[in-house]
Amino acid sequence: MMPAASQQPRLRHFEGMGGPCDLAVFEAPESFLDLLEAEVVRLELRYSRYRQDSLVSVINSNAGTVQGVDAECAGLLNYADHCYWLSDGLFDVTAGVLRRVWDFKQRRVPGEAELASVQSLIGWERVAWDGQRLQLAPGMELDFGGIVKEFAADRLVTMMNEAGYSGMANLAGDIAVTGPQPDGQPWLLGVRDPGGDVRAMARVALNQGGLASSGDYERGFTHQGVRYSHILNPNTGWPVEQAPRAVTVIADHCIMAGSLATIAMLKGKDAESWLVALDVPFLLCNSAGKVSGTLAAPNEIPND
Amino acid sequence: MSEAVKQLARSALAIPGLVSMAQAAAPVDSEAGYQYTYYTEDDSPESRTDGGAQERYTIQVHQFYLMTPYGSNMSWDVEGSFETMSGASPVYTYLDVEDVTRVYMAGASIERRFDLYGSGRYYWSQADVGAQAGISVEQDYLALSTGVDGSLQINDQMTTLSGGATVGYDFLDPTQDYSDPADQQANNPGRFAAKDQTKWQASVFEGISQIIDMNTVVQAGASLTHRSGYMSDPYRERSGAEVPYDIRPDSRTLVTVSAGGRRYFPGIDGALHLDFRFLADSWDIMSTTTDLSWYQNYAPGWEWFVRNEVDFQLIPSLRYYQQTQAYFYEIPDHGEADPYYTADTTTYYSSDPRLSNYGALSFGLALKTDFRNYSWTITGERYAANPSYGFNFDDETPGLPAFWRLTTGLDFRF
Repeated sequence: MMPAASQQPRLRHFEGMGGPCDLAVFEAPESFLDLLEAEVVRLELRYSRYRQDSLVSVINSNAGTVQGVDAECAGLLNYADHCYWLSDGLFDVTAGVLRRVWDFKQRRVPGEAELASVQSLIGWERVAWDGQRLQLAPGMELDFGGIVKEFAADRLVTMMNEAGYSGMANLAGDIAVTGPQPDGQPWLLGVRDPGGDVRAMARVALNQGGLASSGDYERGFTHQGVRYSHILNPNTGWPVEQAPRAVTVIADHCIMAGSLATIAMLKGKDAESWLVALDVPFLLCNSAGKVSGTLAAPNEIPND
Repeated sequence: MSEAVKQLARSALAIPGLVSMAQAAAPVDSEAGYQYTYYTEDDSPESRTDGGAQERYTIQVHQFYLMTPYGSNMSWDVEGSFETMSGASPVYTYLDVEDVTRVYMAGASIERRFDLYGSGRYYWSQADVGAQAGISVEQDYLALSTGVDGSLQINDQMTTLSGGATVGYDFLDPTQDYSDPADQQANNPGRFAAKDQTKWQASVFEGISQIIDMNTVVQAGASLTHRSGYMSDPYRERSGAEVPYDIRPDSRTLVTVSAGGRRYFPGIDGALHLDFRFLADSWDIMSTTTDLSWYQNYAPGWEWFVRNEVDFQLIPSLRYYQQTQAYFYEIPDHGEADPYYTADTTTYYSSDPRLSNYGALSFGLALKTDFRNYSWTITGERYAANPSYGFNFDDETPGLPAFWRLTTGLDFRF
């Protein structure tokens, strides 16, 4: 980000939602940044699957019963439902249970029996959801990963808009902006190299909306000569074959950028053609490390 | 951006809190539209019709509108319409010497009307205000109107309060007869009496709507309208009577209360709308209107050409209306010698069937088709009014209309 020298944004760095969070807001008092940070905490308390008292944990622990949810949670579930149908079943908020058997830290490949045991707990189409009430089959779990951090970034810029401030929220690479910077310049953002290189893979300009990336980064592993991506296909339980190393998407809202990037990763070798068909600005680093996409062209400002 | 991404954006925007209401409230797209209406009344039954012409009204309306955002907090809206009317209309109803109720129909005529309305609206984060002005011109009529309205969202945007006020002023010029005033009075007593008359009206209304849950909204409203001036129908006249054949009070106050609800059923992707309105006025008319409609969405997922999905909405609707008669509604008895209404201008009387005891039923079926930036709507409606629909099984009220109405329109967002 390169604000005009005459006008520096107020900055805030904190840890939240499992990663580093950075805020840059022009002309706002510290107290306003406190409000933004509190919103991240609120959403984490509601939707984190790591907290036993979160709304999501309560919903998961009540699997099997019919549960009413509030408007915000219903909105997110409806959005997840849309992503499920848009992705032909690849984007599935019930797929989180696969992490029980895939341990990417231990670099262990699970057995077929282990996979089969969790596969029976996956499938959004098996969740009874009428837009208001939810019934998970016993043992099923919701996981809002891939939605909530991006939604939080959108929430923060909405709060900035409502309060009359302009700025940017960057929640571990999921980024939303209120608009161009006050001097009219776009926000220049570095997209992380999936190989773990500290250098940016590319620099993109963001004028409005959100940018999000989904990538294998260093979380996949190679076992007996086979590369296992940490992107797991909910239909098979196995890592997606020929998945890109990373996908970055720009969209009207960060939540859309995030889910489109995630679905593209799940599409495997079809990722690029799918993104081209959707006509969204994107950057894709394929499994061979080749970078392509509409954002790869130098000096391109895609969304002004 | 593809249609699939636009649809995803709609799902994202539906998440509470994703965007501020200020962004969501003001329209971001311009919209233009054209609508054509064809209205045709059933012919009056010959056995009860006097005066020759039985073919009743046919009306055609061409409407155009343009709405465009202005800046990020305002929008403008202009609407115009051109209407042609032809056919005969009932002039008066009477009992003949054999006490058979008959309608005297006016000869066929062709009339035209031009309407023009403009409005502007300003949006805040949880409120908006608008102002409108309009003019309606006919050969024998000029109507001017203006109004303001606004809405306010409270209670975490779960409750919307709305309200407004309108005023109107109408000028009547129903005669193009420039003969001697005495002749005018003798030949066209109704039109002569209404010449250069005016009337005005003022109305205030307020409403509340409450979101119960994400699929249910209930609403209620009330309005108060006062009209003052010349409200008799200049064309309900009897040649040779020398006094108008329709003399109504020169003030009328109307009160309405309404309640309704909408419920969306996600499993079948349809919504039920139910509305009820009660009206009472100082002419002793009380009426109820009940509207029931079903909005069935159907998104078959067809893709025409490349990534252009077509969505449909089918809306069957039913309306039931019934009213009591005005206190001065009367069918004159032509068998009676020298009835007062041939000479008296101080007693109110009218045989206008719209002031009688009656009820009406209408059925409608609309189909809305969305494709890219276009919405095409076609609506068919059948309406029939009858005294017996309104719990009036005794009196005959010939002249009540029955009609078919066909409306089709195309909207374009850009």
